[in-house]
Formats: sequence, structure tokens, C-alpha cells
Amino acid sequence: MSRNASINRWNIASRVLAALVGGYAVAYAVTAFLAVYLPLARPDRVVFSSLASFAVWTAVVIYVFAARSATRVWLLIVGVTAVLCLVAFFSGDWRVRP
Amino acid sequence: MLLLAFALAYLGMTLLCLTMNRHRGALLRADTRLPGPAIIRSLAVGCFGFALWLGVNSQGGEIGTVIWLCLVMLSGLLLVLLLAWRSRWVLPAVPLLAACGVVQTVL
Amino acid sequence: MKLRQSMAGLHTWGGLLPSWLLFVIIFAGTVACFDKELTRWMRPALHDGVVSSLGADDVRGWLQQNVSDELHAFWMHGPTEREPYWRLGWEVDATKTIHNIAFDPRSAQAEPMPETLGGEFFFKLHYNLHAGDIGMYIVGLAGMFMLVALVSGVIIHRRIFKDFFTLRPKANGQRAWLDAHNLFGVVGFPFHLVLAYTGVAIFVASYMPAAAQVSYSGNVMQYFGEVMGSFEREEVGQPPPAPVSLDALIAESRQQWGGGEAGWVSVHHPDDASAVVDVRRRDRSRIGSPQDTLSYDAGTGELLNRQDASTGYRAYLWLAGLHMAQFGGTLVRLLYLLMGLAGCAMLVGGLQVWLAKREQRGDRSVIWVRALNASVFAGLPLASLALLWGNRLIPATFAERAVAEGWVFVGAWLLAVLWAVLRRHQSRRLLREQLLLGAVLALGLPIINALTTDGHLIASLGRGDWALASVDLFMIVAGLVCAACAWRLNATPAAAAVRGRSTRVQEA
Repeated sequence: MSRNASINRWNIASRVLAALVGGYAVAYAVTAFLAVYLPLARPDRVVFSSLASFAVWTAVVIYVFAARSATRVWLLIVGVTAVLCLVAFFSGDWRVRP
Repeated sequence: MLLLAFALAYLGMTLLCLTMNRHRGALLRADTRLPGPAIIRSLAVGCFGFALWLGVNSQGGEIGTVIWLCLVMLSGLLLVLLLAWRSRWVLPAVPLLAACGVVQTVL
Repeated sequence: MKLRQSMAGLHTWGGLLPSWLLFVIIFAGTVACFDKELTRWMRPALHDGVVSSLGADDVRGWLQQNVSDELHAFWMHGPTEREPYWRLGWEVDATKTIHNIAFDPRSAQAEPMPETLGGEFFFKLHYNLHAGDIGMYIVGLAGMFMLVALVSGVIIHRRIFKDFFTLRPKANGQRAWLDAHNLFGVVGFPFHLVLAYTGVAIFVASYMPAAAQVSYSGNVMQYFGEVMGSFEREEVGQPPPAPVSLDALIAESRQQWGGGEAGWVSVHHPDDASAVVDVRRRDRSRIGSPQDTLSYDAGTGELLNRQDASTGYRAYLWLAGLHMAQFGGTLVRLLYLLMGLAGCAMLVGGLQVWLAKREQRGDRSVIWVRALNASVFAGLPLASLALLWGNRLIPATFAERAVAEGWVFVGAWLLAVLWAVLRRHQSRRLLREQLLLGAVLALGLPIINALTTDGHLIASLGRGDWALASVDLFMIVAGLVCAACAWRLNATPAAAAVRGRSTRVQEA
């Protein structure tokens, strides 16, 4: 019983961390990605992608607590963040096009 | 004109409320006959729409819509508070608000 | 089923933990709807509603005579309907300190008014808790918690439409409070959602720097310049020529806008030959004022740049404008005030649900949560009233008057906290006494205002000065409501006593 409770506690702590840190990381990555790939002028890309970031963060938090497995949550968060950040930051001159 | 919009929003909320059996008993006598819920709901939507038109007409599209939304929310709050504590005032409040609205619009 | 459970946990704890902070933010924001009216009330020099006859050059003249530091920039705002006086602020180059003063509108010369925190105190409390950048991030995080709580709240609500009109004050504690929490949350949902989102969006550049880092490689100056379409000029290190008249530049700007009004006028590095005067347009007829700023050379008056904000920035301004409610006049501010109060009620209701649930289980630790509730939900309004008392009672000649007012606020709040802790076992009695104190403080304000200034209620009503009278009137209404609640709490002890006894039995 107490083992269950402690597992549960770790599970919750992991999800809280995933929601706060992971959620911000995904929002950051999505914002960076959209700021590069939205088909708009540079100032508009930057502003609209930034404004959308809070919705992304909120959605990630909801997902983190709705998902069945905390491991899957972490895998997905790390995966999405890594892929989007790589695609965004290593896009050469494309990312600073006007 | 905006008080009239508020009265319309309140009327719309009251109509929606009347489609629910739970509240209908508190507001009307048991033998009162009403049209079907679909008709009442569309009337309510009409009220909200007319209120929106009034808001947009007097304050312009953007600001009018914001004011309208606030008025709808506040009319809902007023209706629920009246329902909870002074349910006999719910129906008389409709003509009262409407009269105030008309007076304000005319002046 | 599983989803609803996990969302319920998220809503309960994600909503509960920041709820006291959110109450401070929402309450302060609600008061800040009428910050300028409050400022007028707090400055007796503004009570008779005289509009300043000074010009921008008089204000700059005062600055040149009285401030010898090298300035990074200074900025000023002329009299408006809600603020009939000149405001001036400046940033010292070396120390980066910012100073703000306001000029007495009755005086023909530029003469500063006695300082006060003003209604801006609540505005600042709303967006950064008077804790600078850290406070701004804390408020932003609280805003995110609110967004999550709103979304998860919708997911766990079983019958949003069926229970839309349901409020059963006579039901048992938890049920009644849940109804109330749902009512204010669901009916006010569009407002809460929009205000939470636009609220976090205002400081988006600080909260989410990702886009600027990737698309501008972190070059902040270029980023802001391009997004806002604003104008910057490097310092050249030479003394400035004699400056042109600011009033003339304002007049020219108004002509350029076809009669539009000027808002903030700012001068950047005024002690350098590269000094630039920015005249910003003030447009209250739209939600997001486009702020098309005109930039002039401070020495020659030549028009250097006409701000052409990007579509994105206009969208941002629209969102920020929607939050700040500077459009649509008093009506919109009044509606925001009422909806803000609904937000406060939602928070209080939610906490009461949590408490009632635990009280039924006989959880002892709820007393401390009750004490925390009493110290925040009642303590903050009481401290705000104390601040206004302090404003009236601290003499105008007192040095560092605004700081003293701040200490009155802090001290009053600490006392309220202490009181709540000492009375933690008698929450009902505490609430009644707090309501009574609130009534006395609120009803006393119009009286003390009448005794210490000429701007009493009869005078302001006689002039038709509703902006000033509204503060006194609001205090009277709030005081009467507090008194009525206290009286009701006294008059219906029967039901409460039963409930109170059962909790005490459970606690024992």
C-alpha cells in the first residue's frame, strides 16, 4: 500500500515537472518552429507564433495529466521539443528571412 | 440603447431558463402552456442577436461586441441570483428592464 | 472516467495552489479598472476638476531647471478627461533610476503635486506585485495556472448547460459553494478565458523569447524595431542644439493625424545631438489603438519616421487593448469591474468547495487554510481601504509620502493576517468582525474625505463630477453591503451554528 502511494507520488511529481518544464519546452519549440516556417513576413511570424505559445503550453499541460503513461508523456515531450528545435534552429538563412 | 440590449439579453436568458423543467416550475404556474423548447430557444437566440445588433449599432463592431458579451454574461448572473433568492422578481424584471431600456434609448 | 478524475485532480490542485495569488491579481486588476478615478480621489489638488493650462514646454522647462542629471529619456502625458493634469517621468542615464511626478493643474507654473501611490498602485500590484521582473514572471505563471484551471474546469464539469442556471444557496455547504463556483466560472467563462489569455500575452516578449531568438538571432533591438516599426537613433556624443518647441511638434502631429489626439510625448537621450522626440497618438475609439508614433529630430523638428507597425504588432496591440479596457469609456470599465468581481467570487467559491469537502471529512488542517483565506480574501480589501485612509491622513508635506502610504498598506495587511491567525478557530466570528471593520473603513472614507478636502461628495455631485463622486459613492455602497452581510451573518446564526457545531464535533 505504502509502496503504491510512493509510486503514485513519484508519478505525480513527474507529471507536474512535465507540465511545468516540459510544457514550456514544447511551447518554446513550437514557437521557434512556427516563427521559422509560417508563411508570413518575419515580424508577423514572430508575433503570431509567440502569441500562440500559451495555448500550446496549456494543451500540453492538459495532455500531461490526461495521458495514461508518464513515460510516454516524457518521450513525446522530449521528442517533439528536440525535433522542432533542431528543425527551427538549423534552418540556415531561412529562419532569418525577412 | 445599451440598457435595452441588457434587457434583451436578460430576456434571452430567461427564455433559455424556461426551457428547463427544473426552473420552469419555479417561474410559472404548472398549467401554463408554452411553445416547444426549440421555438423558445430560437426566440432566445433572436434576443441575443438583436442585443448584439443594438450594441454594434451604438458602439461599432469591435467595442459593441465586447460590450454585448459582457452584458450577456452579466444578465445571466443577474438571472441566476434572482432565481436563487427572489424568484418572484425574475419575470417582472423583464418588462421593467425593457421599459428602462426604452426610456434610456428615447432620451 | 479516468480522464475526468485526473482532470479533477489537476483542476483542484492547479486551481487551489495559486488561488490566493490569483485573488490578489484579479482583485487588484478589478480595482485598476478605475485607477485614474482613484488617483484623482487620492490627489486633493485634482478634486475641483480644473484642467491644467500648462504646455509641454512648461513641463520640459521644469525638468531642465530642477533635474541636473544626464537623462536617458524623459516622457510626459498631457491632460485628458480622466487625468486633467501633466505627468512627467524621466530615467537617469547613470543609475537607470526612474522618477515620476504629476503637476498641479491649478497652478499657472509647473508645480509638482504632493506625491501619492495613486490608483497606479493597484495597476502595478496587478501586473508585477511590486516585485519588478520577478513579480512579472510570477504573475505570468499564475496566469498560465488560471488558463489550465479554466480548461480543465470545463472538462470536468458534467452538466455545463443543464446546471447553467442552478444556484441552491440553501443546499448543504459543499453543494451550494460548488453551484456558486460553477455559476461564476461558467457564466463568466468567456471573460475569464479572454482576460487570462490576453493577460499573459501582454508580456509575451519576456515570457516566450523563442521566436525572437530564432528569427532575429536574439537581436532584441532589431526585433522590436521591425515588429513595432519604431525609430531609434544612436548617440553621437555631441551637445544638442537648442531644442524646438514640443508644443509645436504636438500641434504638427495632430495635423498629420487629421485632428487626432496626442498621448505620450517622449524624448530620447535629450542631452545629445541625436535626441529624438516621439509623439504617440492617443486613440480611445478602438480596442487596439494603432499608436502611430511620429518621430522628430529634437533640434530641427524634422519628421524622421512615421511608425508603421506590422500586422502582428497590431494584433498584439488589439489583444493587449482588450485586456486593458481603455476603450469604450466608463461603461466598458464598469462591465470589466463587475466581471472582475465575478472572477473573485469564482475563486472564493472554489476554495470554499475544497474546504467544505475536507471539513466534512473532519480534516484539522483546514483551519489554517481558513486563516489564509481570511488573511487574503478579506485582508487585501481591508488593506486597500487602509491605504486610502493613509492617503487622506498622511499630511501633504510629509517627505516620501508615497512610501509611507505603501507602509500603511503593508502594515494593515500584516495586521489583518495576524488577526486571521489569532481568530483561526472562530472563522465565522472573524468574518463578521472583518465585514464590520470593512463597513466602518469604507463608510468612513467619504466622511474623512469631506473633512480633509474640498472635494466632498455633495460638492462633486453638485458639479456633476461623476468621476470623482463615483469613488465616494462606491465606498458608501461597499460599506453598506459589508454592513448588511455582517448583519445577516448575525441574524441567522441557527443554520450556521448547526454547521459550525458539527465541524467542531468532527474536529474534536
